[in-house]
Amino acid sequence: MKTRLLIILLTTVVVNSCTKDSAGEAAQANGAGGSTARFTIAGNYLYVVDNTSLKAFDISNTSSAPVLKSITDVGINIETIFPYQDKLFIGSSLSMHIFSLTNPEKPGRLAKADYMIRMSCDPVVAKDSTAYATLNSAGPCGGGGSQLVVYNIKDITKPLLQRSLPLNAPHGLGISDSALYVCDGSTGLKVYNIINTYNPQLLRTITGETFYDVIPYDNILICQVNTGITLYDISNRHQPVYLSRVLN
Amino acid sequence: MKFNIVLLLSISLFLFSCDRNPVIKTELREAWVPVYTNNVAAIKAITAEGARPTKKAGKIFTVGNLIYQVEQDSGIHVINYANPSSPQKIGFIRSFLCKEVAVKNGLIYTNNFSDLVVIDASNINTVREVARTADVFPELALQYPPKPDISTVIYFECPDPKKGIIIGWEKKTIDNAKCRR
Repeated sequence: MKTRLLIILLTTVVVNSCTKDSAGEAAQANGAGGSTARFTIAGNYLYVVDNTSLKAFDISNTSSAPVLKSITDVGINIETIFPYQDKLFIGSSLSMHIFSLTNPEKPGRLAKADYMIRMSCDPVVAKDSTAYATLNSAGPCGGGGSQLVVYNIKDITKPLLQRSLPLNAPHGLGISDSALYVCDGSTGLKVYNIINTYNPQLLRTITGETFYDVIPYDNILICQVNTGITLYDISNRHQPVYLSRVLN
Repeated sequence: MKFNIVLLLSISLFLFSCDRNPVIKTELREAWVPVYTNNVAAIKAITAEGARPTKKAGKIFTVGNLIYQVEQDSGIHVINYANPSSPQKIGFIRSFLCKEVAVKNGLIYTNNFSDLVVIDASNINTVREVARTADVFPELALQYPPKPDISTVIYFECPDPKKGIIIGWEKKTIDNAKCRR
């Protein structure tokens, strides 16, 4: 009995110390998801995309079920949702959709930019006046050549295509400061310098894994790879340094 | 002209034969067959289990020192990376057909089959379902077998709700694949 009590006490100490550590990262207390997610949390709302629509759930009451507030038609083949500031970037196989969260219960459409190539899986991320999306022509989406596309969204209602760069089998992507990380499947993780935001410069490709998605989180780049997770140190944003992998 | 209309009509009939009115001629062919269950409790169970190997690595979410990674179709790995040079799996949360994960205020939002569930995992050893909203992910309800790509036509045995909930599809050679898509 005594031993058990001791174990419980020890566990409490360990658990508590973890909580304290994490408090140091208050800047990102809300957490972060990848770019290929089908749902995301912004403020007190959970936003879910299904094949055709965007659903907004109020999650402010944490002891009861999320409350559905609105369903908004978006388009077809909707696949991904990514929050940035007071906006939602929604990726579909045909277009990039941008919604405003001025009224968080009922997101309002700001823009829709149709892609030149069709039938692609396409996560979108954004920073300041630029949006980046990958268009994947491989697998179930079919058609066209895979690309990284860059949009000028200074006028959020009129995204302007600035550039498209060739990729092989792209999936998720992420931004940290002046670095853009693009998961190009088995080709590797591509690191771009986006100091000049509309004109990404490929700096290096990290190979040896099949990369599916990334979360830049402070100085750590969390990568979803085919075997699970690998971590990179991105204290130097342009030069990720391998740290570890999650062992089975 | 008349011929064209007849042709058009027959094509439309043919296209509609999929879900509404199965009239596909039965013949022996390779097709998908639903796997049913009546054990709804097992499907809806959200349980804490020990850390386990990753087999089908899925989507990721991070908050604080923890990474949550979906194990596609079965649950969520919880990983502590307080020491990023040596991240450790600390537990696994079972949720049937899991695909998505997000976390806020210590609550995990994920899908359980086609439902949205909220899980309190503040103690990884005794996770607790806090709330559930049914059918938020209708496309996950597995009414149809997987299509390898948009253009390939697949044949399958038409689902029969009386037999239970479909929890998967098996490829078999059968003579009653009356549905297709």
